[in-house]
Amino acid sequence: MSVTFFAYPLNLILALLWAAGVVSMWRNCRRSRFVSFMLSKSATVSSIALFIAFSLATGITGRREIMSSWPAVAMMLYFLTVLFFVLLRGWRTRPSSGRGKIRWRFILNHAGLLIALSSAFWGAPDSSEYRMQLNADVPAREAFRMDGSQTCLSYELELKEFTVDTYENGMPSMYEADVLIDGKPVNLRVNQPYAVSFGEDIYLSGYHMKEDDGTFSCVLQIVREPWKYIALAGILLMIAGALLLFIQGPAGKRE
Amino acid sequence: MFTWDIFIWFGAASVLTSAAAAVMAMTPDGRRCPSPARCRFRHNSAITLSFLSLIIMAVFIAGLWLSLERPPLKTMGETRLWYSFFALAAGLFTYVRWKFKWILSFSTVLATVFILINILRPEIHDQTLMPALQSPWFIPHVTVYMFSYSFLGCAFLLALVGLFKHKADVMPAADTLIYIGMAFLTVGMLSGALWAKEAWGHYWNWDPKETWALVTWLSYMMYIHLRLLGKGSQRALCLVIIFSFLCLQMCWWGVNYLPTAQDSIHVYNR
Repeated sequence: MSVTFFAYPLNLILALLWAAGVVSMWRNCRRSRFVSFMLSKSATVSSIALFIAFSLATGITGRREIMSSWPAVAMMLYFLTVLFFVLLRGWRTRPSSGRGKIRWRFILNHAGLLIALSSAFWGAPDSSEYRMQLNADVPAREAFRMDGSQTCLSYELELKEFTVDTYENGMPSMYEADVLIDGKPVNLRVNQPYAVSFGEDIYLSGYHMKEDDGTFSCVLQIVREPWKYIALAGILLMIAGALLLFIQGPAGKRE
Repeated sequence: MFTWDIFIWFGAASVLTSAAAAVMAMTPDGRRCPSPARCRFRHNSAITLSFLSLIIMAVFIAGLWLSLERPPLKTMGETRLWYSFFALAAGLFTYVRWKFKWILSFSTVLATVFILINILRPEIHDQTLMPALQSPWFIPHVTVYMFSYSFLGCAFLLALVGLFKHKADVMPAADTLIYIGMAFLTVGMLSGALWAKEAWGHYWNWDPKETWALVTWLSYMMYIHLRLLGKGSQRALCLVIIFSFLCLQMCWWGVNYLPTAQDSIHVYNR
């Protein structure tokens, strides 16, 4: 089954059903065997161990497709579910009487990871990447997917000017492209993508010099990742949590 | 004018004051201290000297900045200047915050290595920096990782001791080192993700270096959770720390020797 089958809105519906399922189980059947297991030490340890095992297999073999295989999807769903249950249980302390204190560090670290990983997991079917080679003064809208298939963009791109600065040894120090996007002039450089629409960015990823006349053509990479804002939010929460980890140290942990 | 020609004086002054601070910090603490007034004096001297060495580096960086009329963040030599500065700053902060007496020795060694490279190999000051590396993320991403690696290196040494000697304070000390190391490891990894989005289009791409960085991060996370949950013997926990540090080495330089390194986009740090 192709991953695009799960593209929006199906992935959003499944994500919301999953989240609602976890919350309602936490509220209504806290003492069930399933919830007890998800909150057990074994679940925490085994979910991290499985994540390590899959990453290790990817690291040793170098085969990225391991992380997009169905067993990896199952592992990720297990990891996210355990993480969500742990977050629901632990977001505040549980004193024997009265309301507990909010555990900010715990929330930032766990919710940050949950949000960042969820956006990558549920958002994967909506992400796509294209490449196109742009020659000077030739308007184009045909781009290629990673598998080689062709697609037509909803806007037109045209390379107006390309500049390369080099070091004394001939290495490129900087290159930039002046491009027209539907007639609008835009400057593209490495590390400076252009946001063409919600969740869609254009990157300057490389260039070719034609040997016969010395003119340049540039290679553009177009990335559609509408869930990137959610990933960013998760990453920022995790950075805040990491700073608290440093400031408070092990003394900040509460059993 | 501040140029690299006069760096030797600033570098030497900074190393000497930092080394003096490290010696001053090596004083018996708590009840083992024979004379509290003397110990307090040595502790305060360590802080003052350490601060002075930081100021010396800061003056050179600021001077270089003004005379270059651009931030000195471009060449590898300039990057090392910041490494040295941050290593000293982090050492001082940790010493003031937790009073680890060995930390100043450690940050001095770290800073000295980078200062020495800048003094002994001036030809690399103008080494080229490929376009993808020319980003404001470059310095924080690498410096934070280096700082983290230094703490996790200490935890590794402690775990080797802990494998054979059963002392009550080994695990709490390892906890502190790993919490600091893990905090910076997280910031390093996530700043890398933010930068990767800007440079290559994706936060995460399962590049060999990224994958090993994740394995390392998860492995230290496993240690933290085993400790929180009260699981594992001291020996098992020490083995987790050792395994994590081996993964870290794999991430740092080991990936370059893997057959899969050919398709890594992190090839410039070979």
